[in-house]
Amino acid sequence: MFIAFLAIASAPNHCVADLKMEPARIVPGKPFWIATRFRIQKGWHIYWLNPGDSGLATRIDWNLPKTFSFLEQRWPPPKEIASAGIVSYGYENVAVVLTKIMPPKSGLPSHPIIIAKLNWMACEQTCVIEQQSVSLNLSRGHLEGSRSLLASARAALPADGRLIEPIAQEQADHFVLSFRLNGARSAYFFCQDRGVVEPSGQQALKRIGGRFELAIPKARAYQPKSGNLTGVLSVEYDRNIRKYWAIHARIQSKNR
Amino acid sequence: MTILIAAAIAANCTALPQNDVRMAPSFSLQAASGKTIALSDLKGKYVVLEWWNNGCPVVGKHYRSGNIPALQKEFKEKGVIWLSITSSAPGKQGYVTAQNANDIMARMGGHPTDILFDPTGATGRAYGAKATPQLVLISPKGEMLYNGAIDDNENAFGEAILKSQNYLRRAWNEIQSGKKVSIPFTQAYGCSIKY
Repeated sequence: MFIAFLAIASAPNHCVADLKMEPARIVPGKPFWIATRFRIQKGWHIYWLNPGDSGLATRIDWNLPKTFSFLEQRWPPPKEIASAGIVSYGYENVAVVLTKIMPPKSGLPSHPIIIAKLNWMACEQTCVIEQQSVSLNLSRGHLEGSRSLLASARAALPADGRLIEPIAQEQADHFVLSFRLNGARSAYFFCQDRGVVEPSGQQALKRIGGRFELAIPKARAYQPKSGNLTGVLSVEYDRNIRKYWAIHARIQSKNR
Repeated sequence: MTILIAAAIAANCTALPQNDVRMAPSFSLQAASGKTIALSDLKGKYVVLEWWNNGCPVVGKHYRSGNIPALQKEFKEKGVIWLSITSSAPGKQGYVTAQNANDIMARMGGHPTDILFDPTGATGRAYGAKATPQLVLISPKGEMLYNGAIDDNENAFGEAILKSQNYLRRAWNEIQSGKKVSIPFTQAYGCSIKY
């Protein structure tokens, strides 16, 4: 009876999150990583930092013990979720976000607890806004499966884009992102900032000598300003191999 | 030769500044009131188009908080025609019939001038509508003055509205003080339109 009531009172979320950490125990003054794993119901998706044509960005708000500090957060590469000409950026099945945290050099609390307040919009055809609060007691030591989860999450992150020497140039109605690669069949640039590129625009790849040039249509909402083209370049190679590069390139204007 | 000239014209056109006058695409759609409403019939009046989906939680946030109903009231009092428009295809989420659209809108606390039905999605696509809510402001001459998000706060919760800059109101205030709309396009946030 009580269980039945609970089931009615709280409809289950379409995405469930949990936290894992590495290393198993924190060492004073040495950064450690927390994995926030989002497990998404089949047929549903949640959104990246830039949700694309539609959606809402998934948010993680950290509540750390006072003496701990947030260092960085790294998101896995998103995928294009296209429907009727609308292209959104997000995740299906599972997404693991890695967060680097610095503990204090001394005076480590005996039971440090970190809390992540999460919210996301999950969509199938219908969309719902969901929230979850997850916590981790950092003194508990190794948690089952943490190491393999963090290792695979790290392996899935975009590679350092500086290795492919990206150059971004602004043209009248598109950007040109050029990069050095030996071979690529197709490419797509996921811009991290909204209102810069048109997610549903056709991005055209062309080989020029030892480099490739990707023409990326500007968003009609684009406001010309000096800045950077920041995001993830997805490159498809032969034999359906795909690799992701984290791009951060200063936009050079032809007119400047 | 013709091709060369065409290419030269196209190159010139793309070099034009982005803020140039754009005419709002024409439409003629069935309304919940039973009328057929065409944009050409509304010449001489400011018009707001609000892409609406009654099941979208982001639309819900702006109705439950009273934000969109207050905007509808405020703009109608200025003499603006406020048309909520649904582009969900039949069978898709958010599709409503003329019979139940008024009831649903009333339950949500909204009071637009009318509700338009765009089941083919042709009008939504012509305006580049991608998400709900998406707002468009059209001048009495039929120029598209603003097209995009309702505000600058892409947040799931109603509390954020107080800290937001409303883009429709900003565009309106700029026009009323004789200025050009400084940001004519933004990217809407919310649920994808179910074309």
